[in-house]
Amino acid sequence: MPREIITLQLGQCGNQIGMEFWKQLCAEHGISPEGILEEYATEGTDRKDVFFYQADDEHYIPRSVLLDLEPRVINSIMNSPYSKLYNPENVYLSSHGGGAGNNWASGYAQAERLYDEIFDIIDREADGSDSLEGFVVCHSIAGGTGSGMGSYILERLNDRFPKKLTQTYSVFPNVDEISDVVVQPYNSLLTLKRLTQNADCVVVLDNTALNRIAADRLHIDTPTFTQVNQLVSTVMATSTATLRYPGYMNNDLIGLIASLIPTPRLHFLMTGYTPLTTDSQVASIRKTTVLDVMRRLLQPKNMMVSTPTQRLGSNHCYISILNIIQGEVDPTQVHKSLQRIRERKLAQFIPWGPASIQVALSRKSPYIQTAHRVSGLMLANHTNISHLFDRILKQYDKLRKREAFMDQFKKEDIFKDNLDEFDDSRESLQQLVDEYNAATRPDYLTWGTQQAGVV
Amino acid sequence: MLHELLLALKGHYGGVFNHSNDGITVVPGLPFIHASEEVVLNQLCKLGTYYKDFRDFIQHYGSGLLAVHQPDTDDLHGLYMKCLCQGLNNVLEDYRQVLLEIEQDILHDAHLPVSHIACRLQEFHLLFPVLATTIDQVVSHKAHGCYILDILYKNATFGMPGVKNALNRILFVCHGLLFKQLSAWMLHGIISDPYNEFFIQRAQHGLDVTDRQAESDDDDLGIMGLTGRQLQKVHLGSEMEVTPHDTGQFCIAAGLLPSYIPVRVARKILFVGESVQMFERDKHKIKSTHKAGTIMSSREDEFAADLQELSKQPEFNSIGFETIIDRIRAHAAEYLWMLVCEEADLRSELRILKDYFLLGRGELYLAFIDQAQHLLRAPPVSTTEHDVNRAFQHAARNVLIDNDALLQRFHLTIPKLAKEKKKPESNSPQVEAETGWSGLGLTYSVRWPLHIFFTPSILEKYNRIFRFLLAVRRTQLDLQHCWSLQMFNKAAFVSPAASATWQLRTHMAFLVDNLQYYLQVDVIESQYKILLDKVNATKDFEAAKIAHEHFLASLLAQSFIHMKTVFTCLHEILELCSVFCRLLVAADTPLSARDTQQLENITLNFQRHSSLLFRILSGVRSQSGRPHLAQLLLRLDFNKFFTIMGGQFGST
Repeated sequence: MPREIITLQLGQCGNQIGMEFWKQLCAEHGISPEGILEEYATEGTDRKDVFFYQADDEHYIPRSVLLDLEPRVINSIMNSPYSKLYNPENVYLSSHGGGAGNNWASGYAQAERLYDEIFDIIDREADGSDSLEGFVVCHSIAGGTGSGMGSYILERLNDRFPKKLTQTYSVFPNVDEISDVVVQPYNSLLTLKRLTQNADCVVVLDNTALNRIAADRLHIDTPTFTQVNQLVSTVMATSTATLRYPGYMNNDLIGLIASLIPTPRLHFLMTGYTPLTTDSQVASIRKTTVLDVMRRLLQPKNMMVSTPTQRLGSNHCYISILNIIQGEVDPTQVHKSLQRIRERKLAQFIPWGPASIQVALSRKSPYIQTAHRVSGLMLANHTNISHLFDRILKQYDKLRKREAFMDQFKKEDIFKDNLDEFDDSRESLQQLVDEYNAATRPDYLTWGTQQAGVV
Repeated sequence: MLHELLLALKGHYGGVFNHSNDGITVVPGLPFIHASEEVVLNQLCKLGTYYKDFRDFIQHYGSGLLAVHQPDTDDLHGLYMKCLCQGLNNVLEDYRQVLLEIEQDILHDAHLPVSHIACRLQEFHLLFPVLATTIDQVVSHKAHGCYILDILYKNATFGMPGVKNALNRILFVCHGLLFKQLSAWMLHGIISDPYNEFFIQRAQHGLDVTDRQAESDDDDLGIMGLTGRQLQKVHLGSEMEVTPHDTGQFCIAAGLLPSYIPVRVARKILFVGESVQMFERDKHKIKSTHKAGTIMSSREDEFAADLQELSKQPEFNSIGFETIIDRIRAHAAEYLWMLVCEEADLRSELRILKDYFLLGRGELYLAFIDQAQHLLRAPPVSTTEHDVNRAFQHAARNVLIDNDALLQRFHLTIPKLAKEKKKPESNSPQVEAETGWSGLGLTYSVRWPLHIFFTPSILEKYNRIFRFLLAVRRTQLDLQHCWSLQMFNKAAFVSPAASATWQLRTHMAFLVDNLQYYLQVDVIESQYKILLDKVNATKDFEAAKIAHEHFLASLLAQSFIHMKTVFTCLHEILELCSVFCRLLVAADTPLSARDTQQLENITLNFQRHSSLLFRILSGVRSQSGRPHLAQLLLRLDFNKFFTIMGGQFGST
């Protein structure tokens, strides 16, 4: 059973990072932009079938569905060398091509109208797999298509495939720069409700942190989309490494995320990656040890989520950690590193349940030469992520108080009669923030039941 | 009169000298012999008695090898016995020579006194009793084959030079035979041993069974799981235990091994011979890159000459002996290294075993468990084994392993039904012991010539680890399946009862996940790296083999398979997890009263077992001998939650 995973790329941002992701996967598996296996890669023991399927003519085709309401990004993909990679039937462009105008409600409503067409494609993909494990959705929560259409699709995926997992890679907007999308907080809030209630696992990709990393760590003054997306695709590719390179553990999506998520709603994961530096000299000074990698992964500067470091008085903590380490490492060092980290209290853990750092050693693609012998990705469930939601709540409250830009939303069916959906979403997100804060305390579990009693 | 005496000394009695139970004596009261002379003569006659006994002995045992054809006689027979007789005869030749000389003397001077004769024969008064005791020992111990050497050697450590020399001469003759057998064995792999006298013997199956019996008995004994013998096994890299059924073909017969050849030398001899033997037998399978002939061909003459040289030395030179054996062994080991590790690619074979037996290919077993779940959940029937293997092949194809030749060599086994039926009676009356999963095992047919590296007993150890790892993996999958049920409700907070259930699941999953990480990373990956480092550093076949045995011994120890208490505890926990998952999957929501009751039981049991586990792990932690217990504890108690809860999972 290959445990196939279908990727859904929604909107501009979703298609851009999806594009980078597939580029990365092709490179790692030795598949040419046209989808043909390179000569040197025919003997590989990697598992291409999780993310690709083989067409009759020996082409490898991504199990990917590309959806957008406006043609710009998809057209650029179709004009790139990778245009022949995708199954053209899986590329869906809304016929009117006007986009969602950065409006969640518009994206949601359009997706509703396009339901049949969209789910024709998804159903066909699902039927084509032996034992579908789940869906991976790439989108941004700030725009119109990725957030609105994404929300709608998440809800419907739950209805139609209740037994399948849904994981998302969700891009959170950059708060450091003035966005041209003024209704960002509305879009984010409405999407977050769906991410909380309809997704099994959300990998948070915070544009603020990504830009900061690109600027500070990679010494790029004005990071371009491509460079930031490069970071994203690295994270996405590494987080799926254990699915694609046969190893002893984490061979399926559920195995990967189940241990990270002890309670259903706290399923927003942060990522960290090392090495992020481009200078190869640093790496060659001495051999990178497991401890080096694990210690760096715990440093906030390597985290791809921007949360204020070391908030005083707060006792935010890790709920769970999974480190995927690739490259030549000495496995006998893993235990010692764990010991050291615990001795030095480098990571603070929840007080209400067992938690530990899980370390998976994974193979690396043999076809990509990197300067770094060892690299590591951390997937972490940290209560501090609530800060991100808190920020969105505050921005939302500011806008909402002025009833700003509400007209566009009221045009669509969902908000025609009232704005209850906003209030619902706000409550949902507030509850999530509260739950994350509660999770820092020893009485979290009884807190959960108290809340239930109230409701 | 003196001639009468000479005859008596040669063991012939007559009118003057009589033979009775006390041996040959002068007929008492003869008028021409004074009483004092009688004493002297009787003294001399003792030699005659001894000589007669020796002669009888030689006649009885030295003439034929045919004890087999005379079943009514005792079972002393064989080539070594014949050599012993011949050696004895050689020694007696001296005695006869002296008698001849005395006769000459007597013929020259008829008035020689008896004291002259007594004087000439003085030395034999010392020698003959020792020889007689030696022979007595041989007879009374029913000594056979090389054991005779041992008796001779022990008796030869004697202070008197004359006696020592004589025994060494006998030993020398016997060693002549030993060296012939040795060179036949070590240089040609032939056992020329019609009477089963050599200390290397074709292994009998009976021996195997008793050994295994002993092993399993041992396992049951352990209080803290580790008996002395198991410790020894772990520390010595199971040298002691593996030897008898190394390749199942030959073994060292401990009863026949002379004590002056140390076991380690004997093992080297065994190893060399076996290697040669194996290549002789399977010559046609060797790729033609190697020259024809035995693996010794290139240096056969040299080694043969060395052994020859050594056999000519009057006394057994154990240092020289070991040196030569070492040289031959080194040659054989290097040759084997070339063949096994270079040509047959030992490293990739190790990799394969890790991938399949130690679940290195996790995705294969993921697929296999899916495929075989419905087959193995129920008690096995006669077709189960076949179906399971089909499922295995199918799973392998699904994860794109297209090396059919390799897959064909793996075979999953299910114990025969007859055995299965016995169990419930003797064991606890629990029903779950009867599912197909519990008996599932994996076998592998090893490619020539790697079968000398991966012997059946080694594969059996792999199998034991495999079964444990698979059980852990299955439980993990079950718990993960329940996780997706837990994830259904994300909209609101869950009810208090459900919350407790989900926390139990989380704790169970945490324990099993971390156990899995511990086994795979801390134990298997780490030990595998140590093994590879060792294999890469050596050019000696045996060193690699020992490193591999160490590897397995560490795996068995650190995965607690040899620690009865921890192992049963872990098994109970895994079982509880499975029961929990089955209950959750089958139950309706809300839970019925019966289900709730059962859930409470599971919770209680899980608490009890996890607490036991915690106590064991932390209890012996201080003992530096077993750091791996602390390693597992570190993972389970990483955020000290385990400690805070009083070493108990499952409670909130």
